[in-house]
Amino acid sequence: MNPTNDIDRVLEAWFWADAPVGAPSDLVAAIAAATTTTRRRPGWLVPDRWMPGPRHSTTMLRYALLAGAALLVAITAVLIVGSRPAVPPPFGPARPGVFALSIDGDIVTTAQDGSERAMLTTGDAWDYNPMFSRDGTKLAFWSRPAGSSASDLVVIGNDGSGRRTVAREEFGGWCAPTSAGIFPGCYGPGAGATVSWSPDGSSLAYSNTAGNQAQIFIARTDSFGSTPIGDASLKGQNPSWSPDGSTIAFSGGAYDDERGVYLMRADGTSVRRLTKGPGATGAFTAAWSPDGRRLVFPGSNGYSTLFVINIDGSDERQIDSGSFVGGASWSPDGQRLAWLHSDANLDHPAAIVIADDDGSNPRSYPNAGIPRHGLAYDAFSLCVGWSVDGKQVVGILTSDGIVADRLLQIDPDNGKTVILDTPGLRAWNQQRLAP
Amino acid sequence: MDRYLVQRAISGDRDAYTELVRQSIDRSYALASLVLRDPEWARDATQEAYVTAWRDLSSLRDPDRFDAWIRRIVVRSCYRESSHERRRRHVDVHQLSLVGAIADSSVQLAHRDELERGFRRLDPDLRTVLVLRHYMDLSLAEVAESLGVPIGTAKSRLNRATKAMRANLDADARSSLLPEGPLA
Repeated sequence: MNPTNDIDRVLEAWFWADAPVGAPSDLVAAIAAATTTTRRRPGWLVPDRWMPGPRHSTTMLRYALLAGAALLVAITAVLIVGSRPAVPPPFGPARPGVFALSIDGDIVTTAQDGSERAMLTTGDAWDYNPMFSRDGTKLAFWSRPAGSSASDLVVIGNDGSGRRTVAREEFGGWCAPTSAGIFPGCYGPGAGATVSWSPDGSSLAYSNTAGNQAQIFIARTDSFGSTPIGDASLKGQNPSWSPDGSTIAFSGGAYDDERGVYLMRADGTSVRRLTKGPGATGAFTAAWSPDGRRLVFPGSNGYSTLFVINIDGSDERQIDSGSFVGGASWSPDGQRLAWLHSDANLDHPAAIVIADDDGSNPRSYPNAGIPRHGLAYDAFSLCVGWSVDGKQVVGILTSDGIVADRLLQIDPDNGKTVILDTPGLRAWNQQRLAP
Repeated sequence: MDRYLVQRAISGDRDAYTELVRQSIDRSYALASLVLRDPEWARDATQEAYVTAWRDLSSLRDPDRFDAWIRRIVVRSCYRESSHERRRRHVDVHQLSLVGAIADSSVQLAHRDELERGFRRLDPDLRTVLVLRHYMDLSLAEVAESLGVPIGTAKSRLNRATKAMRANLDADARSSLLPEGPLA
């Protein structure tokens, strides 16, 4: 016989020939005896009840396993998420939290109505320009120790806890704060004034400028140290992280013909110039629309100007100009823009302008109950912006044209204003909370 | 299988369960015996399977599926027994006692040793799939259910088992052609 010729038939025949005709005669009795001492398990304790058994098809097995895995993931997610406070998504409207203010070199938080004021920092160090992380859980600010020529970049929890210095001004010493809290000749974010949080809250981008030096740096929030990124020859300033975290916009260019808004990957590679027209002045931060598709940025065309551009470089459009235009920001829903506009010198109060997202239908709020000297614009991009719920535009007022001393909240729909007296105010930022 | 009997057993009626054992144990024992190739191991595996089934019977929600359910438990019990026994001892094929073997013209006694040797060289999971398919006469879907694997896996395992069995038989046939004693 050649058993390989028809092995199926051979096996079948062999099995039938080889199989016992019956079980041992005492086996049933042995099993019956064993079961008398065997305790039944509740059905729910038997894995087969939950895992697909013989009565289920293998398709059911897959579905059951997938459902089980999904359930496990859901339970894990609920446990993880449930153990943390709810946080808002990094972009879009959020529930308003507290204001963080830099007042006379300290970081102070206050409710929108001015109540519940709390000092998050005190002491001799000059703490300034607070900026909440996108989830509202952390706060970054600059801190210049007394007698030091360089500021530290500090991150704390939103209650002031867990202070950590994450970086130090690389080119420090250019502009030390005076006793009055004013930075002579140092207006704007050039000297480490602003920081931009990565959407995931893991890193901060900032620029450091001194004399002819300028560079963009990245600092992680869980360690100390910074990394210069991008093309150093472009003297990048005012980095702004895109909503998806992939790209950083910045103002750059060492010479007039190369000045403008640039984009680069978050690791500093693939640097490219975005704008073709008149260069950005470099004094302000280009602001991303919440959907990450457009930027609004200040420029210079003989006058101070404001532009909107798509991030593919198309539709670069000037939307305003004046003796001073800046501090532009998008409403959290991306439907409107607000910026600061002045046609003259400090004797004429600057106005808040609110317009549609393409700059059309501008409405100016020159007075709106604002006392003479009106909005301070020496705090630049930090001085005007939207509340995180998009219901107010917030700015800083000055009584004498030099020193800011009040926080203005204006309802763009009806012009109603709320003014908080905050002597020594230099900058504000509002915490975002989960809706 | 008597659905009413299964329902009574599920509800805890020990007599009903004993009757279920009596009605199903021959095929279960034959399955274990063919896979394990040893009557004692087959007895142990069968007894363990039925005791386990009694313990877990309340998890059986569809009484009509009792046969498939117990078959799967027997297969698992055979796997366990096989792993234990492989560690414990090795039994020469010629020591096997074939209980109640039925003569069949397709399988001459002279070739049973070849089949036995070839079959025993297979891993237990390959032996099991061949027995389920060619002795229990189960469809591929039923084989998959008994093994607790997808149909595709059962199919590939069956192909692998058949090829391996064929290769073992071929190798055995070639070796039998060699002259006995040391080669000159």
